[in-house]
Parts: sequence; structure tokens; C-alpha cells
Amino acid sequence: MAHPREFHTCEYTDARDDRFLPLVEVSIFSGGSKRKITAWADTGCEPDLVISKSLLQSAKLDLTNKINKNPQLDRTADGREVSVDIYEAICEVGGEKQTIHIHVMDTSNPYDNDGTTMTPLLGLGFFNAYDVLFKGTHRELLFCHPKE
Amino acid sequence: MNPKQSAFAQIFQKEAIDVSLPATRGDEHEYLFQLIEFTRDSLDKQWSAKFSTTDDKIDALSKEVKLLRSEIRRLKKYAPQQEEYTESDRIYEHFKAELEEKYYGKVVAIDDDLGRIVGIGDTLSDAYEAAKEATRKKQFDFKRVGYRYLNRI
Repeated sequence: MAHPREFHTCEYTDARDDRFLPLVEVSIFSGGSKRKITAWADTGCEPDLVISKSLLQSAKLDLTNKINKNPQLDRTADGREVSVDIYEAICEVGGEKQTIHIHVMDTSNPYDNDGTTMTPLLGLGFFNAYDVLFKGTHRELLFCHPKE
Repeated sequence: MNPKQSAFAQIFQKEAIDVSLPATRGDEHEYLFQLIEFTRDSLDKQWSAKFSTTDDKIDALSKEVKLLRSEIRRLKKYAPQQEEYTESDRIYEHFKAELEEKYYGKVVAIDDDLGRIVGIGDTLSDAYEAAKEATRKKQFDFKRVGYRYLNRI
């Protein structure tokens, strides 16, 4: 049986009050430069990377390769439906580059509910482009290629 | 006395207004006119008690209008966005029955210029690659067959 190939390890981010968070820094190549964003690792979302429109602006990501013509509809974990634009971009984690699809969601304007209770992902992205092994006792995240 | 007249009579009685109840349909209009006059007078009295001059009233009303306008702006900002019915939606609806029978749960890429489905795949990436291969274009619309939404996040 083929085993997943590990290619990157990072430690859990030390937050306050003895809390360690599974965050990873993802570099996005955009407009000829490389920008880093912090994202939750392996959240179970279907897209490779989800970010909010506000994070796109604050991180100054210049994503040019939009693959959808009209805004698309994604459903969030709490059942809301939000408008997203999808961009193709190259990301880099632990020296490995991969082409991913980034879903940029407009949290201020959902299709079916009021937006007041929706937080723009707390300024973080959701990254699901790789398999991740959570080594809780070692406070480590192991990034693997799913197929070898 | 009909129920409406009865209700009016109760109000008048409560306010100790001496109004004789209308006997005919023609009198009913007069009766309603008196009621309107009475309501206007009582509102005027309330406003007069609250605000001494007309300018005060204007100021108060202006503030109220300002507040209402800001409330409208706030509500508009958070009002649900109207989902636009696009050409891609029309194309999807046209092929819906066939797609749901054969490709339920898969992602389709739609080219609205060509008016047809140009790519099908298990994931968005698969559908996009297939569509690019088939059309040499770079932008499409996507639908997950049988679902309202494309992906779960």
C-alpha cells in the first residue's frame, strides 16, 4: 500500500492561554510577487484555499486569473450561502509549489441571510490543498501528498 | 350599528367626545371626518405639549427622518443579495434532467457563449481542466449537479 509522502512539518502556533492552533503559512504568487497569508490547516472544506474579500485586500493579493464568469454560490458550515469568486494561483508550502483554486468569499453579502453574524474568517484562510497529519502530542503538523 | 361604528363609538366614549352616531351611510362619511379631525387635534395637542414651537417640531422630525434614513442604509447593506438568473442558469436548467440522471454530484463547467456544458468532473479542478481542453477558454460558470451550491466551506 502506498504511503503518503511527507514534505513539510510545522509546529502548532502558540496562542494565549495554553492554546495551540493548527495554522500554516501559505505563500501565494500573485502579480509577480509572493505574499504570505496564515491559514487554518485541513479544515475539511472542499476548495483548496478559502479567503475572505477583506483578507484579499489586506494581504494585497493581486489575483488575476479568475476562472468564473459570474459569482458562484458556496455553502458555509452553518448553512449560509455566500457569493464567491474563484481564482487560479500558485501556492507554496514548505518549498512545494502547486496550482490551486482560491475561493474568495464576499462575507458582507450572502445570498440567503443577513451578514451581521458572519465573521470574515477572523482574518485567516482555510487551506485544504494537502493531506495533513495532526501530531497533537508533538504539537506538529505534517503535510503530505495524498497519492504517491 | 356595524362593528366599525361600534369601535368608533367606544373610542369617542372613552375620550368623552360628544358625537352623535351616524344614522345613514351618508352620515358615516361625516362621522369618519370628525374622527380624523379628532385624531389630528389630539396628535397636535401631544406635539404641542412636547414641543413649544414649530421649529422644535421641525428639528425633531428632521432628526427622526435622519435616523430612519440611516436605518434604511443599514438594512440595505445587510439585505440578502438578489441572486441573478444568468444565461448559465438557463443552460443548466435546460440540461438539468439529463445531468441529474447521469452525473449527480459532479461539477459541470458551462460556457454561456457556446450555450452548452463544456466540462464535467468530480471536482471543480477536473471540470475546469476538461472545459479548458474542450474550448481553449479560461472562464466558465460552474454548477454542482443536483445542488444549489458549488462547494462546502
